[in-house]
Amino acid sequence: MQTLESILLVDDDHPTNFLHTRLLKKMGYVGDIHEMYNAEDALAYLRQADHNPRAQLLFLDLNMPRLNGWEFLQLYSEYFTETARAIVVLTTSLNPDDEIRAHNSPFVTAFHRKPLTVDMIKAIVQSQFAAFWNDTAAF
Amino acid sequence: MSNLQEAERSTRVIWFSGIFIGAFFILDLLIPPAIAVGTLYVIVIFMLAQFERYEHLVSVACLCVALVVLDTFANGPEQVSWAMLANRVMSVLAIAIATALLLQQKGLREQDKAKDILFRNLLESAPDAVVIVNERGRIELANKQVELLFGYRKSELIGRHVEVLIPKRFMESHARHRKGYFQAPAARSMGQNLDLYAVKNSGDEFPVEISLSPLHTDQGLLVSASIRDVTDRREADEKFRDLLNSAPDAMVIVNETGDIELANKQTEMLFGYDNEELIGQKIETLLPKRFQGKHAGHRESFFNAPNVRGMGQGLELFGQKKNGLEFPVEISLSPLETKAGLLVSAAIRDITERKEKELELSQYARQLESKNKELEQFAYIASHDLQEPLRTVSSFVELLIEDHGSELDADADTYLHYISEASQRMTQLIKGLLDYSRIGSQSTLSEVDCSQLMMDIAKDLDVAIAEKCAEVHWQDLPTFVTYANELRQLLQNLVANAVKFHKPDARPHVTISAKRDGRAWRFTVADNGIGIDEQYKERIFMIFQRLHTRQEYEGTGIGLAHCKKIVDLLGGTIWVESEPGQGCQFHFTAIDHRRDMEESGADA
Repeated sequence: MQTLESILLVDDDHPTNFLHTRLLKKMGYVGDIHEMYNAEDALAYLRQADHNPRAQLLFLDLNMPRLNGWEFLQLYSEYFTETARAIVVLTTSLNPDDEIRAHNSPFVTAFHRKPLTVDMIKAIVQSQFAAFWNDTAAF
Repeated sequence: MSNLQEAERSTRVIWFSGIFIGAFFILDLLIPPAIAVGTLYVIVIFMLAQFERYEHLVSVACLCVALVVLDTFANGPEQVSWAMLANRVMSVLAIAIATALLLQQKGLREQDKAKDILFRNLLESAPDAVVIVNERGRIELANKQVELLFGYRKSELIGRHVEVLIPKRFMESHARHRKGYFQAPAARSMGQNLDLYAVKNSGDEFPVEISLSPLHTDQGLLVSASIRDVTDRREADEKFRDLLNSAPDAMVIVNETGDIELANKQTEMLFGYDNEELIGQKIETLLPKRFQGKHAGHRESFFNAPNVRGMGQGLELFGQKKNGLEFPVEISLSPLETKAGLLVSAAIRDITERKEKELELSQYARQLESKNKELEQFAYIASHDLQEPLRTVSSFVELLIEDHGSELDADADTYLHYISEASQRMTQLIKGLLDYSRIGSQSTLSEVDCSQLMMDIAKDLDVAIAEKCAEVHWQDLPTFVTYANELRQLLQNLVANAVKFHKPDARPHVTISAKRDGRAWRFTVADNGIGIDEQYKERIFMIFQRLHTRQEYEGTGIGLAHCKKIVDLLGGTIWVESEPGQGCQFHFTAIDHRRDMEESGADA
């Protein structure tokens, strides 16, 4: 299992990105965190091949101006394979269609309703990566 | 007979007559005058009559009488005795009586002949095929039309049984009917209400109509049958029936006395009667009892002033099925001029389904209305109840900053900033939603001077316009009847957007124009701003859809959805034309309600 070294947060809401970053750091994550406020920028960032390390985990908001999460995934699928990275879809929406759609998409690793919690992050990391946190970290 | 032969014969008869007369005269001279030899002249008279030389009859008779007289005095007047005179007078009388009788007979015969010719002419001139049949069913006479219609020659038919003209399957019953007719002969049409058929020499059958009349003659009772080929009429009838049956509605044709003359298949199906049960019945049979009395009167007044129209406008009409079931109907009437007099055709449509649909629809509309009211109520209450806790949040954030601001570190400042920003946004969203849900709920039509309206809007947007150094122009804006408050919100939103989404390096230029477009006005709000990408042209009018993050441009994502809803209310459409970076033109149409307002004004 690879070690988690870089995470990309895509959400148009600043406080949300702020909260998520803070939570990851509190859990003892010490790698890169990039915050992106719209899907176009996120896609452009991912397509720049010279990032080292490249984001291995992506938290994706659905409801964003211009390109929404689904449209982002549509474009993303033109450049990347399903195994390129783990993508966690996050939404505040209560619309059950989104959950079904996420479940059916081969690019989506997990689907969660906001806010992101410690348990959600733990579950994702345990299934996909070698643990990054210090179990003794206080959170 | 040719004229030549006739003339020859005529001359011969004259010659023979002369010879006979001469012979009889000589014989008379030789025989003593007391014997009435003059009676022999009667033979000549008969001969002439036999050979129809009537024109010479009188002159020959006169000649004979003259010869009788001459012979009397041939031996000298002194020889004349009473006996001789008596004989001579008898001879003259015999000649005179024979002549008179023959002439009379000739007159009678000529009369008969003329009658016969008249009768034959009459027969031939009849438009229909006529056959005259005796009591044994044999054909005595037939006219030319019979030849044409049936394809027999007259000579072939005379003496044959009339049943040769009838299809085999009817022969037996026909013979029976014929006997019956001779028992009680009267002028009438044959087989009322039955479809009659005849058969041609070729074996083809065709529909006919036959009228019979008795002829009392010397040879006994004859029957004249006039036969009319009604193929065309039957076809026309059938076409008419087909037409009736193909009509989607139940069609009933009624005469002036209210009897049903014709009814189509749909009528049978709709009312549950067989056709035979309907024909001849009063039309009122198809109505519920309580309408039957009045209907007769209505029917009469229709016949007095027949015209094409719907029945009982504004009234609920009902039909009644055979099983007694009532159902709502719609009826249109039209007069039908026929040879048999004025008829009325009534098209009856079962509107049960439509009535049910209407009821359903009105229930649905009522439900929708109450749902809408509930929703509006909900929006009010929700906005109030949502704003209370929100106000608490922002109030206490302010208090925290005010009372403990100095004790907090940079992180805490950030958190508080996020909190107050989020609650402000929430306030805007709630207000926006409330406004959105209220569009059209209290709208009234009035005459709007759009130039004045723009001046008011420019004043309202004064701060934003000044801040961006924007230029807002308009000219030739109309004055028309619409929902003033809503139009104002709409234009204000569009102008505000145009000012807001300007290019960072250019002063905003906004132009508002309007053009007549049928019953509506078409407005255009054009700017030189950032423009809108093709793929988002539809989405921008949906609620909460934004093209920019809040860091780029402030906003709730309600503005254009609000505009769209207003344009719906104004009876128009809204759309945008744009090239990214080239600015955009928002177009919308709004109906001019001037006419509606004038009408409602006239009503009031």
